[in-house]
Formats: sequence, structure tokens, C-alpha cells
Amino acid sequence: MMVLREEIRKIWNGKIVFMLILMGVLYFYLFMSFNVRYFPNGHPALEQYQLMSDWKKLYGDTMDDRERADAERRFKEQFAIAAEVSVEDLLEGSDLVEEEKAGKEGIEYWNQWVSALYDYDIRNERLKEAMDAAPTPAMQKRIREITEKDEMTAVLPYEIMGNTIEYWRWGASFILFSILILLAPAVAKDRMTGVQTLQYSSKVGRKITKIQLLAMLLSALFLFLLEVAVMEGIYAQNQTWRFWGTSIMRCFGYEQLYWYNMSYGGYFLCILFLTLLYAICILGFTFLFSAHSKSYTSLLLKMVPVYGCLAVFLLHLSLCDLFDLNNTVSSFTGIPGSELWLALGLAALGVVLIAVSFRVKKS
Amino acid sequence: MRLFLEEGKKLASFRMLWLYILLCILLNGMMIGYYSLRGYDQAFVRYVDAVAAGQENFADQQENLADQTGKGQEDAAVDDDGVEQDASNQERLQAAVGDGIGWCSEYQTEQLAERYVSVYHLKGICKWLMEKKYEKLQERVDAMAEEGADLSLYAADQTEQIQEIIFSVLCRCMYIEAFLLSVFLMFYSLGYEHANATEAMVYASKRGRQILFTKMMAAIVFGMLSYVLLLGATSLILFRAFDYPAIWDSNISSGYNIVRETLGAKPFITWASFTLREYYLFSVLLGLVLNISFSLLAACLGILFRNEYMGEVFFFLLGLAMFSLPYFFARVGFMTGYFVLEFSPVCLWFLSPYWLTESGIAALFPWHEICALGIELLAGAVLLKWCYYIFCRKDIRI
Repeated sequence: MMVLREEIRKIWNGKIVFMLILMGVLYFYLFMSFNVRYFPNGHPALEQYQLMSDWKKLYGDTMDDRERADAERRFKEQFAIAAEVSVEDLLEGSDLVEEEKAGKEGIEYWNQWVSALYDYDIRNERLKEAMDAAPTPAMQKRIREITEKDEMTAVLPYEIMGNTIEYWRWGASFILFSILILLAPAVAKDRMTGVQTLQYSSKVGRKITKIQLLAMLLSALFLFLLEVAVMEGIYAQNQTWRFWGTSIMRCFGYEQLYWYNMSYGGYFLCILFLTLLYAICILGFTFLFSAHSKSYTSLLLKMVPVYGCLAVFLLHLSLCDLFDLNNTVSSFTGIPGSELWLALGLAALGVVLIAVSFRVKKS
Repeated sequence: MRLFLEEGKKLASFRMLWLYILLCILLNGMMIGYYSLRGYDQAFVRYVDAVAAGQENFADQQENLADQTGKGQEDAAVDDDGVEQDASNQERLQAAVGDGIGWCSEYQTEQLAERYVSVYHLKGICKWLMEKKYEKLQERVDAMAEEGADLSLYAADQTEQIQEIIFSVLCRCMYIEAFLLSVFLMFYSLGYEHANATEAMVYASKRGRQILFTKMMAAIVFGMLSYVLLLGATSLILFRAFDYPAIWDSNISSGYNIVRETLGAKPFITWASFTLREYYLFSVLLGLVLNISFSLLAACLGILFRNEYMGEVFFFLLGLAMFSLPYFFARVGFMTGYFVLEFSPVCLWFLSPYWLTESGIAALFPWHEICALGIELLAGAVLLKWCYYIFCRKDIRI
């Protein structure tokens, strides 16, 4: 236990932690603060967000035909529009509402309300169009399923998904980077300073590798949870958690179809789970290279392409429109939800790498 | 010289160096392959290239388009499908030319100056320098109008895509790969004795601590060689994949080459007349000098930190600071700080797709990147001397 504590202390080097905190602040300012500062980002996103928030209070997480009729009635009452005017007529323009009375934002709100009603009405036609354009049988099957179960009825603002993904995509990259920087010297330092021979001849012997690995795992897990807590703490300002239980299969705004019908909260947890899987993979590479590099530079030169490939390329491709029918990874493989399988595969690779380097070191 | 060779040998025997270069070339090759297939309309660009090959200047394009495209068609058409394809390409090119590509004759650069001055609230010397820069640019625009640079065909409506692939994606990527390698080599070279616990022995020798300069020289030379190797190999792949001789010879300031930024679109105006090929080569040459600048920065940190890992992590921190602080300064309205930081190596790297142009808000002077590189080299040398002075006064603790 004492050795484990000392190994953890060695990993959490004060200078490196301090530099990581500074880097985190700069990184957040540069890449992530935008998604918090400007949410919802301008017009008409703001009005659409307001409308969806109001509808969620009134109608709950999903909308049905009765509620849609009620929404239209309320709309006509609020803007004093005759009952016989159809949504198609309203779509023609905002000249039916007096701009002087409503103001610019009022007009935008009016527009969004009409668009939302229209989006609800034509959701099945849009699905039909998507079905015609779907290139694979799997996609067609999924769209048919969405149509049959009438899944596309969620009351969710369109900007929430994009904003959440954008924020966590950058966040996940930094989490992987910080794990790499903090853990990389863990085993390499002993090897380079010649402490390893002393360690191996001590009472603990070669079990030290197991203890070092445990220390690395615990440190990585703690760092992961800490960073997620901090990032989520900041992101909570956006109050997107109000839609935690709402399905991601919305029909309002631009069209986005997913392989799975899950709640926004579940989707968010999936993003975190995927990040965790990538973290396991990067941990595996870090342990392998840390245990078998003769210098820090050699270690970092190995890690740079690995990090570039994992965090900049694969993670971004996977998280960008995660579980969307048009996600790059699933489009490329043709397998639904491939992003998850890819991440699981990479995590398994990380575990294998740890096992291999562990075996090599033990012998 | 003998020491230099020995240090060079040490670096040459660093296997990761070669593996890293190989990996980078592979990655760049994959990127080029991906963009060749998906990044732009290959058939159309090939057609434009064939059309452009039939002329040197595109000034009479609007009148002679039918003849010229017919000539291009003869070169490109190989079968029935090809003829059909060329017919649609011809229509597309005609439409692109019909949109009008000449902009030089009526372009007023003072609009750009006004835009930056008003949006960024420039005052005093910054405002004056910005206005002067755009006054000077007007002369260049007039000269371009005379030579008909804006009438160059480049890749017609695919120009922005090609420009983006080559300079914004590939060059940026190649440069940062090479710069990182040079930085790591410098840290490796300077931290070698510390890592191997031979500092006391080496610094007590006849050459003493001055050996650091030999190490630096070796690292800089190897950094440059790696740069040449990495960029040379990637460029060969690039020229092979983008095999459009006429397009490479077209003027980079073509009317189709548009720079899109937050404040709006503007033409790609360079301070001298360049073909795409010349621009690429000049850009690569500037990258080589910037590579030295990165090496000098790493040398300063390498001397100060001694522990290579700490130095490398601090370098990442410094790089991130150089990258993010200008945005922060611009946001809070401290534009002097913004302009000073735009001279940093990291900002200069990020600006690489717009090197040798007016560079928008990032630059206050004509030829900003060349001025910045000169200043960086000078500042790097002074800083290095200072770091060495500090290091000489330190006790070496083993």
C-alpha cells in the first residue's frame, strides 16, 4: 500500500500538474468557452430554444397530434391570427404579424413557431425523402422503424446536440492529452534513472510493475473523473440538463436521424463512455511506450502520432454526430453504431498492450 | 567539428527520428490520397488544367472560351463518356467564367483597412500602420491589374478547395510535424547528458558548458535535414497526386482564389506576383526558416529546464499560450498585445496559408512573415545567449 501511495505521488508531479492546469485554462478559453458563452448562438437558435423550452413545460418530452393542435391554437391566439389560416399560409411570410408590435425577436419567435408546426406536420414526408436517399439497407430499415414507431416527435432544440458534441469533442481531446502528459513519465523515469534495478532487487521485486500499473490506472481514472466534473460543472451553465430525459429523435429544425432512440442524457453518457474507452486505449499506449522508451523524447515522438491518430482523427470522427446515420465512421463501415465498436476495439487494444508490456517486464 | 560530427552521429542513431519521419510521410500520403479522392472534383480540375494548358493568360477567355474549351476537350476527351463529361465540364467552366473573375481594376484596398480599423477599434500607431499597409497594397493591386493576375484561371470554381487542401490542411500539417520533430531533437540533444547522468563529466571537460552550442548546432542542422526530407518526400507525393502542370503555373492571385474570414470574403492578394508553384516553394522555404526559429525557442527551454520532459511539457504550454493569448487580447481590446504576439512562431505557423499576402488583421506591415521571421531569429539568438548566461551561473546538481 505504501509503495502504491509513493507511485501515485510520483505520478502527480506538482510541476506537471501545475502546467496541466494552465494548459487546461488556455485550452478551455481557446476551444471550449465559445460553446458556453454563446449558447444558444444568436438568432434563430435563441427563439427556437425558447419555444422548445416552453413546449416542454406544456407538452412534456414528446409531442402528439392533439398537442400539436393545441400549439397551433395558442399560436393563433397569441398573435391574433384567424383560425382558418393554415400553417402553409403562415409560412409564406411574417407580414401577418406587425413588426412594430412584435419587435425583431418577436418576429423570429413567430417564424420558429410556424416552422416547428410545419416540421411536425411534414416529418413523415421528410423521413420518406431520407428513405429514398438512404444508400444502405441498414439505413433504410432504421428509417422504416422510425416511421412505424413514430419516433421523431421529441421536443428538443436543434442546437443542443451540436453544442454538446462540439464541447465534449474538444473536452475529450484534452482529457486524453492530460492523461498522456501526466502518465508518460511514470515508468520511463525509473528506467532512465536506473532505479528499476534497485526496485527489482527489493522486497517487492518485479511486482512493482503491477503496482505501477495500478497507480497509473487509478491516476488516469481520477484525472478523467476530475476533468469531466470540472467541464460538466462549467457546461451546466447552459442548462441543457433540462432536456435530460428527452429523446434525441427530434423533428424540429434540420433533420438528424440516429441509429438508436435514446434520451439526451443517455446520449451524453454515451459520449463520456466513448471518451473513457479512448482513454483506456491511450493509457495502454502510454504504459507500453513508457515502459520501453530509452528517453522522454523517444517516448513523446511515439506518442505524438498515436495521439494525433486517436484524439485528433478517430475520436473527432466518432464523436462528430455520434450514432447519426451519416456519421463518418458508420458510413465508412456500413455497420450501425460502428463508432462504439471502434472505441471498444481500441479499448481492447489498450488492454492487450498493457498485458503485453506487463508480461515483457515481468520476464 | 569533430564534436559536431559526434553529436550528429548521436542524433542520427536515434531510431525514433527515422520512424517518426516515416510515419509522418505515411500520414501525409494518406491525407493527400483522401483529399485527391474526396476533397475536390478531380475530373473538372483535370479539364480546367487542359484548358489552361492551351493559353498563358486568361484575359481573352470570355470571348474565346468556345475555342479554348474545344481545344481542351480534344486533349481530354478519350471516349464517349469522356466527351459527355467534358460537355458538362465545359458548361460549368463557362458558367464560372461568366460570373466574372476580374476584380483588380476596381478594387479599393482602403475598404479593407476601414473594415479592420472599425471592427477592431484600432487607434494610434496601430491604426496608422494598418492604413499604410493597405495604401501600399493598393499599388500592388494596380500592378496586378496591369499584369492581369486576377484573370488567371487557377482551378476555376474548385480553386478554394485546392487552396484549402494544399495550404490550410497539408502545409499546416507538414510544418507542425517538422517543427515538432526539430523541437524534440533539440530537447533530446540538450537533455542527453542529464538523462544519462554524464553532465558532470562533460561539463568538466576542456570544452566545458560551451558544448551546448555544438549540441544546438547539430540539432538545428538535423532539424533542417529532417524538414527537407519530410517536406521533400511529401511534396513529391503531392506533385504526383495533383499533376496539373498548367494549374501549378497559374497565378495564385486568381479571381477565383477567395479568402473567407469572419468579416467577409476578400481576394488573395500577395505582395509580389507568384504562380502556385512559386508560392508553394517560397512557402516551404519560409517554413524552413521558421523551423530554425522553433529550434531556437526549444534550445532556450532546453538550457533552462535541463530535464527534457519538463522542457517539452513547458513548450506545449508556451505554444498554447502563444496561440490563445492573441485571441484573448483581441477580445479585451488590447490590440498592441495582439499584434506583438502575432510575431510568435506558433501564430506565424497558423498564418501559413496566408503567407506573403496582406494577412488581414494579423499583420501591420507588408511582408509581415519575413519581418516576423527576422525578429524571431534575432530574439531567439538574444534569448539563447541570456539563457546560456543563466545556465553558466548555475551549479550542476547531480
